[in-house]
Amino acid sequence: MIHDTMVIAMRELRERVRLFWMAAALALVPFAIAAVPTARGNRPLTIAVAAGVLGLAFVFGVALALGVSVIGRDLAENRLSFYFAKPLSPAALWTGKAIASLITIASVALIVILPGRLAGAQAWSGAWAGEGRPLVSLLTAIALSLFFGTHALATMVRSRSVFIAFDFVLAVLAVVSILAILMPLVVASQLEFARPLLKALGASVLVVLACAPMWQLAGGRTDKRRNHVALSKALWSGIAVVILVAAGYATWLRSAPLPGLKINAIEQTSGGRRVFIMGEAPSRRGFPTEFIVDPVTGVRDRVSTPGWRQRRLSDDGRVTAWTEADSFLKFDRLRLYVRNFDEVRSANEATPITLSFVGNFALSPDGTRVATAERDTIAVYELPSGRLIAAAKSTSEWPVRQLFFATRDVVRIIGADYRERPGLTMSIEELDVRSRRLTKSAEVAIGSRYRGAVTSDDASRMLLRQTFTVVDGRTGDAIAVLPVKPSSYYSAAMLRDGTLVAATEGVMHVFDRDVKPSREINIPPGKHVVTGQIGESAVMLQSKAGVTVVDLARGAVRYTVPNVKGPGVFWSPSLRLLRYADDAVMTGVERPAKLVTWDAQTGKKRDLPM
Amino acid sequence: MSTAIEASGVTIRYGRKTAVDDVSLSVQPGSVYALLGRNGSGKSSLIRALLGQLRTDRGSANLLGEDAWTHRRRLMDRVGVVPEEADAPPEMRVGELAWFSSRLYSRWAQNAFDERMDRFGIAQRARFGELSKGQKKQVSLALALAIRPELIVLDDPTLGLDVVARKSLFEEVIADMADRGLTVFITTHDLGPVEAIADRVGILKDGRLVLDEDVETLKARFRRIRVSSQPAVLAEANLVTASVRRWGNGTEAVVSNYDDLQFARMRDAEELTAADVTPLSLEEIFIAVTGEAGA
Repeated sequence: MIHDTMVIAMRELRERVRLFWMAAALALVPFAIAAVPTARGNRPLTIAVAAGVLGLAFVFGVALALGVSVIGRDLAENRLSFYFAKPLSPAALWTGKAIASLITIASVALIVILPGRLAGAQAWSGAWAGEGRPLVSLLTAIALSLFFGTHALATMVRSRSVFIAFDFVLAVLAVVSILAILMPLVVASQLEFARPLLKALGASVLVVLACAPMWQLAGGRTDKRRNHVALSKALWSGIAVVILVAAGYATWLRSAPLPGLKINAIEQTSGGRRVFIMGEAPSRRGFPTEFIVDPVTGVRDRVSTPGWRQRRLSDDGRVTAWTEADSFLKFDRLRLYVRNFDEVRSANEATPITLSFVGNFALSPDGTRVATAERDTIAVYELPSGRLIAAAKSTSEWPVRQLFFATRDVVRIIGADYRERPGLTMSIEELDVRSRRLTKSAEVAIGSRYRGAVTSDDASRMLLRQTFTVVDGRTGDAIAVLPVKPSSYYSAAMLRDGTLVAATEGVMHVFDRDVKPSREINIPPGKHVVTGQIGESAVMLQSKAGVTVVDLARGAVRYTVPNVKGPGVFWSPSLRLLRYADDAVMTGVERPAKLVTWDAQTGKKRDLPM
Repeated sequence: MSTAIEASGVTIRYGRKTAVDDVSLSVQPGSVYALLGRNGSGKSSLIRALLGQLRTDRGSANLLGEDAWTHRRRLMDRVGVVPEEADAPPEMRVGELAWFSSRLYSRWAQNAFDERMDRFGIAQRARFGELSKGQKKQVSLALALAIRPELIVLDDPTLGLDVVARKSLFEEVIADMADRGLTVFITTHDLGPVEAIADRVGILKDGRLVLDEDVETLKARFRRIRVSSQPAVLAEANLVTASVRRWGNGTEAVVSNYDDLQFARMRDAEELTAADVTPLSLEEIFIAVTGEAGA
């Protein structure tokens, strides 16, 4: 077969000598353009740009023309019998013709582009910033797709058969299937999985497109319609196999079980009735996986889009809200979904509210309202109906970093620059739902970077994490700076009643609302961060050694759950410290990867039911 | 190998249209088989199936003892083909066509090809697309014969050729046949020359093989009869008529089961004042069988 393939390829190449001459003539054009007096200013750049543009246009044109004619011309002119009356296999015929075409495409690319590339020297890199393997790979992929794709299309069109309607339907089905496979990954922001899968899908479809003509010629030989039917059968069977394998792979990625998950984070509703367990599945190439688990029974639901974009929990722990693309045809807008855990059979509920990828939102403490921030528009809606209650334009020059319900009817908006530089300020604005008015209440110095803030239940005061300054929640007036230096930005917090805590090495400092020291409590050595409060007077700390719960009323450590990473996220979208019920069942991961629960009051630990 | 070509129940459909309908035939090695039929009768489809270029919807087509569809590649090394329409790429030069074939066939005879080109007066540098129709046929024939085939398939080889070119083409084939005992399968509308070389003839009508017989037997049983009475006398004499028409006050008929003895009995019994019998050419038999003028 190799001999026959080479004979065919040589015959085809002999036929295309004119193309090579045309390419050679075209290679001179950039030099001619550069010789024009008006273009002499930057001669190498002119040559580089002209050679690149002409080269690409010519190469893609040649790829298209060869794709249309490689078999299609012989088929249309009833000349395939010339080959089939000879001792040639269909595979040799196609491979020979395809190899000759690919050599032609590569050769004309070199002939047209290389002189310009060499003469353009440094200017080439400037003009074609993407130079290098990725650009070459992309252009090669485009040229191959044009060649093989147009061959398939030309075969189908030339048959003038009704089968082209089936091809169209199958093509639409294939595209929809591929989108359906990829979109859950895209929606879940798993582009590092979606991209290689898309590349593999594209490469596989290209392989199918490259190989299907062998079956086309073997099954159709000299007949136009039978060529079409044979090509379609091979093409769509091949693509179906590719799609099935890709779907299987994507399903396999997304079906990692909870046991064995490498846990990255645990987030728990305030009552402790539901736990979001997020991690990576080592058995699934580290695919991010997430479950909602009942820590008492171990009953769990898989979250279809791991790391639900911008998940929020209502303060009472009953409602969660998140954004998700609800259609792969419209993923520029994300729909807001809610789920009420109070309901017997809680289910995801789509709201009419949509947000862009950069939009921000906050749930009211009782989960019945949502405030959204998009560009400079702040809006408040009822949930789950999505009825708009109030909307106004922000006047701050800064992008919205955080927003929260100061009260049920007042939304407070924090704006700050994303960049890090000295002398930053943040803006505080308020949207009054009843009057539907938005007012800017303060511009507060925050140091060189906005690292978030934490506020009390009544939102009257706020602790700025960057500077450890306590400010008035509305006016931003500085009240005091913590007199101790916590171990990290997240080692200090404001409790719901305004009490302040700051963990330093071996000691937890407690301050009242006015930042007057009230207590110092010995805690285990190490660097602690404040991850929440239990009830009204206990603080939960996380360190490398484990979870420590400090009872502020008693002035002592209540218990330590060693070697465990508990719930909580450092960068909470809410400004209020997470508060768990006194009788909550807390959940954590015992190193290396064992899920455990413990009683929030006693610290008594047990395994999470699996 | 008992037969050079064996078609058994070959049926070919294009959508709802049946081009070839349950055709069975066989061609003996070293013989000349002429497949006749009007345009659109299914000849080319049958040939494409016999050459393994078109899959049969039903039935089988064997060449040189092997299935034509499955073993086409191997078989084509032994089969020369002259297509109805010249199908070589028009931009190829005659010499390139020879070069191309020489790389693919195991028994390529360059000398034979060159010699024929010289004899036909065709330059090897000439592009195939620039040749006249007759020259294209001559090149195709030279290519087909230069592979030293065991079987040559000629699909209407004289189509569009002038009288001289037709004569030349048949002379080439006949000469080669005489030299090497070549098996020839030919379809043609040119029935005169083929009558002289064909051993067996098949007639396709609307995709069905309505006749498949040795030429000598065929010519022996077909006769034109002119009698001075009504057509009924022919039927009474058990003569099967392929065509009947009035002839003065009598009848002219082509009968397909002529027998001297039977004819003599009829003439004597009916006391016919005029009754004569003339043999038919292949063309006349074709017209009688297909019921239409022109092949």
